[in-house]
Amino acid sequence: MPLLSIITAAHAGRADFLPSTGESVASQELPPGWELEWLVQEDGSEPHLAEIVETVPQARYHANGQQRGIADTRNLALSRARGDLVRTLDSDDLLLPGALAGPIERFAEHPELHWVATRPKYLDRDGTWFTYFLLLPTGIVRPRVVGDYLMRHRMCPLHCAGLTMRTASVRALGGWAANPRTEDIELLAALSELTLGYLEPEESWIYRMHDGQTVHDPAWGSNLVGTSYLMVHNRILAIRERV
Amino acid sequence: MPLLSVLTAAHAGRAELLAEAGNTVAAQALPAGWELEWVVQEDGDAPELERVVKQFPFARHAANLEQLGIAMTRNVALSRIDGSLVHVLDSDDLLLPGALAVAIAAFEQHPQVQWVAAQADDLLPDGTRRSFALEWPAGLVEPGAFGPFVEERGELPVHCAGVTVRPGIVRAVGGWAANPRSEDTGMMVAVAELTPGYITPEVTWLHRWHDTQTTGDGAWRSLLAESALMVRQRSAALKEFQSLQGGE
Repeated sequence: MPLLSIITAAHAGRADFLPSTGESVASQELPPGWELEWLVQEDGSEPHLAEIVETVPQARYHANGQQRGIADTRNLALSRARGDLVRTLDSDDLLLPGALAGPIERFAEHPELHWVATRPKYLDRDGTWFTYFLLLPTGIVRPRVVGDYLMRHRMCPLHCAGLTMRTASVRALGGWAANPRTEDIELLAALSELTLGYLEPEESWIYRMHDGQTVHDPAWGSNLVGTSYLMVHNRILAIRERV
Repeated sequence: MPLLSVLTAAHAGRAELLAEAGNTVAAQALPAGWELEWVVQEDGDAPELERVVKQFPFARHAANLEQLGIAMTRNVALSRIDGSLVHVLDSDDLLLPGALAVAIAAFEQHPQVQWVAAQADDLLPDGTRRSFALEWPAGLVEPGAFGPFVEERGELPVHCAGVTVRPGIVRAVGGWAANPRSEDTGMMVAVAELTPGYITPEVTWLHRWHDTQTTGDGAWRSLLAESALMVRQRSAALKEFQSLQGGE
């Protein structure tokens, strides 16, 4: 039975968001024959989320038992994945109906794909919705297209929080990178240099903005942002020298 | 002028050990025409090591100004290096005389290799040295040769502290991995899967055992099995990925 593994890194501060995130997982309809597992990996030395997660029948919960940060936490979840595909879902986001079936069907139509990206629907703190614009054409994304955009604009042309990827390819690349601010962009950069991907036009998840997001923390915008993009840039160039 | 970058991640608690490490860098004699830089990246939000590092004219210090951990700290350092080779030196370890010349000579004799690992002796808290044998013979190592060893053991048969590597391959594989306990093995397993390397017969550095080592900490032992699993999974996935991609 083919299996899709949803990877969610969480921490105790997300207890108010996670129940609705879990409901959005439990209500997903998958193509015939497919199953899902929801891998929740809790960061921090005082885990609190087990009871919330375990109300979702497809959930498999584990706690780090110590503070590791987002990249290590996602990679620990990845090490538990049994599916051939992994889908990222942040602990404060919500899947829309059909969020998983769309990418699964795309992989079936195009067996040469290694990743499928979808669009978020943004929910602002005041309850208003706004549109996330994709900065690349939808459809097949050839190697180097994402990398060229990243190097030119120092900005990711698509959203990394709604990617579905081949599990083995993510593992081969070392998973989420040990990069202070752009751990997910660096993973996508490497994957998209080397493999074919697909950009879906549909919105497949709700990106909830709230005051507890790390990106709203003033310390987030330190000079480590520039360093993090430099690391992405260097990785793209280094891969290009080898391919 | 060819340049070798010695890369060291450090934190404020390491001031005395770092000065000792720096003295062993200063004492290196390089082959004619080579120069070195020592790139020290300090982890933590209250940096204190600039005064130590600036005693060494060939050194450059920068601080994260927040706690990032060893893998990210080394990767930030990697973004700052200018050398055509990078040698990893932990802040509590010591280079023996000739360490860098031995590594450079191996790259010059075997131009195909992308990494050179060296032998180390343990330096015990009472100051005595204890030698140990690597579980792999010295000499050339073909790409992928470590695969069965990694599958069985979840680790490599060489010491990842003390390697000298071409920066391009380190950057291509994403640098040190976001792996709780095996960040260096998580990186080197990919380097060794994809590229040829060399193990020197010479002992060129000292691996110091001391009380403040993280590996002596009880909490450090948690997540060890998960970390080794991540290493095994990367090694296995790379074999599959390369056959799909024709090389990373």
